[in-house]
Amino acid sequence: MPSQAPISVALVEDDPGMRARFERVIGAEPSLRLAFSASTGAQLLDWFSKNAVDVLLVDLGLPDCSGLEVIRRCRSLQPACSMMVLTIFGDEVNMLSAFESGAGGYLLKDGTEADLAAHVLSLHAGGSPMSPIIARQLLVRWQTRSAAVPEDEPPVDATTRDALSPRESEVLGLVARGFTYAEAAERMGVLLSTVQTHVRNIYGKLDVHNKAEAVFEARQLGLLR
Amino acid sequence: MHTVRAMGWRMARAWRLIALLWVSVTMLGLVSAAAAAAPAPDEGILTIDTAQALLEPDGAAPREGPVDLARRWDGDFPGLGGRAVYRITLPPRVGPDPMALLFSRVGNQVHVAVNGTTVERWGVLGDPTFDAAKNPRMVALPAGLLRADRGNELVVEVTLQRQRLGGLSVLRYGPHSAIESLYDEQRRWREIAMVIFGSGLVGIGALTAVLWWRLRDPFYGWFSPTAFLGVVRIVDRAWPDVPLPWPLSGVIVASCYAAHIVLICRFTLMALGPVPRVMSRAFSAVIVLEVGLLVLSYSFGRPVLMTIGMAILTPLGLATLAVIVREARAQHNAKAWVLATAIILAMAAGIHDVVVIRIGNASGLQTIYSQHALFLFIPIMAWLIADRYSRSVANYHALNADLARRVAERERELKEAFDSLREQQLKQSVSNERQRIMREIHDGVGSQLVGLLNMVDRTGPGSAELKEQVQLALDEMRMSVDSLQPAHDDLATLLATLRYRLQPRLQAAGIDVVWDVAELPAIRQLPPHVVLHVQRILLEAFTNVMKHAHATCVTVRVRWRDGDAPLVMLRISDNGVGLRADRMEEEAQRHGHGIANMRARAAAIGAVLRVEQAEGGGVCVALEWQAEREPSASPGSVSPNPA
Repeated sequence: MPSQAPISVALVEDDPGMRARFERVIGAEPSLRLAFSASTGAQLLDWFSKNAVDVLLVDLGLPDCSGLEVIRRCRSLQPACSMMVLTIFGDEVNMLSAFESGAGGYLLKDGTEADLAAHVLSLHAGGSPMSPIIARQLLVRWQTRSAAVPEDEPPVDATTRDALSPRESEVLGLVARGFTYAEAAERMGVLLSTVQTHVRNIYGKLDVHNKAEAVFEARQLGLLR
Repeated sequence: MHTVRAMGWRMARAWRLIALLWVSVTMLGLVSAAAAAAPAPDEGILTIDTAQALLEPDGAAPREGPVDLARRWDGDFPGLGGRAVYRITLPPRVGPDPMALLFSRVGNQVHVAVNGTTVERWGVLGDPTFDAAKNPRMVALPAGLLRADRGNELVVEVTLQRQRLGGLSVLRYGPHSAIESLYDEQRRWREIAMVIFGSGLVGIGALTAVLWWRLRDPFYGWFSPTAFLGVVRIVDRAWPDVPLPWPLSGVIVASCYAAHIVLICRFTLMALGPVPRVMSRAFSAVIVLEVGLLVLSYSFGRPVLMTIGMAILTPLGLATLAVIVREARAQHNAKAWVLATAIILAMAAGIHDVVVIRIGNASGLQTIYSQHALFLFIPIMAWLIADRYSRSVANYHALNADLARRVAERERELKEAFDSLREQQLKQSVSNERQRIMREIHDGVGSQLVGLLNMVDRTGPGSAELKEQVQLALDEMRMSVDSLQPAHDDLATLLATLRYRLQPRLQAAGIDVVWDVAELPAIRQLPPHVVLHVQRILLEAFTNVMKHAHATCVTVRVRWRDGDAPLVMLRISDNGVGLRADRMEEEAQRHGHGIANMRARAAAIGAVLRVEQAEGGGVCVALEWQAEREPSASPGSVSPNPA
C-alpha cells in the first residue's frame, strides 16, 4: 500500500476538537492524505464541486444543512467517491438513512486514533462494518418488503430486483447473531472478502436515493420516457 | 312565544283542513245532486205523480182510487206487503218517435203493460227473490205500440214485500232519446258514486286490515270492519236479486249500515285517543240495540222500530260530537276540529234523511245524503294514515339523527378518553424511560467517573489503570445507548451487540472468543429492565474475564430449551486461573462485589445465576431464566439461515 499513491480524504465536521483529531489521524497515516477539511456543508460542497477525492468523511449533525443532504449531493457529483459517516454511536436510525443516501460505511468517533485510520483504509478497501442491530433491521426490512410482494409476480420493479440473495441474507443473519465476518465466512465456507463483498452489496441496495436520482437525470436527458 | 306560534300554526292548519273538507263535501254534494236533481223536465218530458190505483195490502182492506205517487206505500200501509195495480193514461202519440218511461222507483216485482201489451217485467210477480225498487228503471215504448188518436193506457202491476220500499213512485214519460239521456246521466252519476264509495271503502278497509295485521293497532283493527260494513249497503244497492230471503237480507243490510254508523262514531273518538269507557260501552250497547230493533222491526213488520233505531243514532252522534269538541278545545287539535266538522255534516245528513225521507215517507226523487256524508270519513282516515305514516317516518328520521348524533358524541368521548389515556401512558412510559436512563447513567457511567475521579485524586495512578477505568466508563455509556436502540429487545441481538462492542477489546487483550450461540426462537419482547440486567450481568462477566482471569479464550454458549416452560441457558466460561477455594476471601474482596451485583440483577429478573468452576479450570458464569415465546411469527425472529 505505501507504494501506491496516498488515498485523498476530505472531511466535514463542525466540532473543532473532533475535526482537529481527524486531521491529526489522517496526517499521521502515510497512506492517507488530507485534501480538504470543512466545518460547514456549504463550504464542503463548494470545494467538492471542483475537486475530486477518494474518501469523504461526513458528520451528520452539521450546522447549516443535514449531513445526509451533503452525502446525497456529493454522491451525484462524484459517484466514485466513498462516503463515510462520522458518528458517535453508529445508531441504527441514522445509519440506515445514511446508507440510503449513498454512504458506504461509518466511523465511530470514539475509537482510538489508530482504529480510525485503520477503519478509513479498511472502508476504502471495501470492508464496511455492520453492527448486529443494523443487520437485524435490514433483515426485518427485507423480510417485510418481500412479504409485501406476491411471489408469482415477475420481478419487474426496483424492490424485487433489489431483493437480497440467499447468501446476502445468510450473511445478515449471522452478523445479527453476533458472528464476525471471519466466523461468518467460515460458517458459510467462503472467503472473508466474499462476505465483505456481500456486505458492500447489501449497503449498495440501500442506496435508493441514488437510483431515483439516476432515473431523474435520465429523464432530464431524454433517455427515458 | 313558541307555544302561541305553534298554536296559531295548528289553528291555521285546522282551518285549512276544514276548508278542504268543505270542498270535498261540496263535490260530493254535486255528485249526488247531479244524480238526483235531473234536468228540468223539458223536451216534451212529462212528470207523472198521480195514478189510479188498486192497492191490496195483505191483511187489510183493499183501497181503490187516485194515489199520490210521491208518497210511499210504507207510509200508507206500514209493515204490510201486498199487491197493487196502477193505471195511468199517457197522452196520445205526437210524432213517429218511440217513447220511454223512467220510473224513479218501482217495486218490488213489476209487470208493465201499455195498451194491454206487456212491455217489461222485473222479477216474477209474487216472488220476493228479486227487488226492482233499488234503482230507477227505464222502459222503452215502441212507437207502433202507442196510439196517436187517443190516450194510451199504462198499467203497472206490482207485488210488494213489507218494508221494502215497494210501490210506484213518480215517473216520467217522454221521447225515448230524451228519457234515455236522462236515465243514462242518472245512472252514470249513480255508478260513479257507487264505484267511488265502494272502492274507497274496500280499499281503506283492506289497507287498515293489513295495517292491523302488521301493527295490531286497535285503531286500524276497528276501522277495517267499519269500512267493510259500509260496503254491504253499496253492494245491496247494486244487486237486485240477493240470494237471501226477504226480510233476512233487509235485517242484515240495515244492521250493517247501523253498525257502520256507530263504528264511524267510535272511530272518530279513537282517532283522538283512548275511547272513554262510557262511550265505548254506549257504542256496543247501541249496536246491540240497533240490531235488536231491526230484527224486531222486520220480524213483526213494525217500521216504526227501525225509525226509532235510526233516531237513537242522533244522541249517540251528539255525545260523540261533545267529546270531540271538548278534546278539540282542550288540545287545539286540528284533527279534532276536522273530525267534529265531519261528524256535524254526517249528523245533518242523517237527520235530514230520517226526517224528510223516512218520517216524511218521501219517495222517488229526494236524495239520501247520509251515505255521501259518511263517505267523508274515508278521506279522513286516509289522511290520518298518511299523517301517522309521515309522522312515524319523521320520528324515525329524528330518532336516527339523534342516534347518529349520540353515537358520534359517544365516539368523540371515547376517543378523547382513549387519547388522554394514551397520552397518560405515553407520559408514563416516557417518564419510566427517563427514570431508567437517569439511573443507568448514574449507576453506570457515573460510578465509573467517580471511580476515575478517585483514581486521579490518589497519587500516582498508572496510565493503564486510568485507561481501563475510562474504557469501562465508555463501555457503560455505549451499553446505555445500545439499550435505547429499537431492535434491542431481542436476546440474540442483545448478545450480538455486546460482542460487537467488546470484540476489539477482547482481541486487544489477546482473548479469543468462541461464539457458540444457537439460533434462538423469537422470544417475547424483553422489557427494558430485563435487557439492562442481562446486559450488565454479561458485561460484568466479560470484564471479570478481561481483568482477572488471565484467560486466552472465552466461550459464550447459548442454548434454548423448548417445552412448557421454555428456558434460556447462557454460559460464559474462560480458561483462565479460575476461582480457587483457598483464595475465596481474597477473590471476594477483589471482585466479589461484582458477583454480588450479578446475583442481585439475576434475582431481579427471576433468573438463576451460578458462578462455578469451568471444565478447563477457569470460571463459568451460568445464567438461566424462563422466557416466553413470541405468540406468532414476527419480524423479531432471526432465522433466515440454518445454524
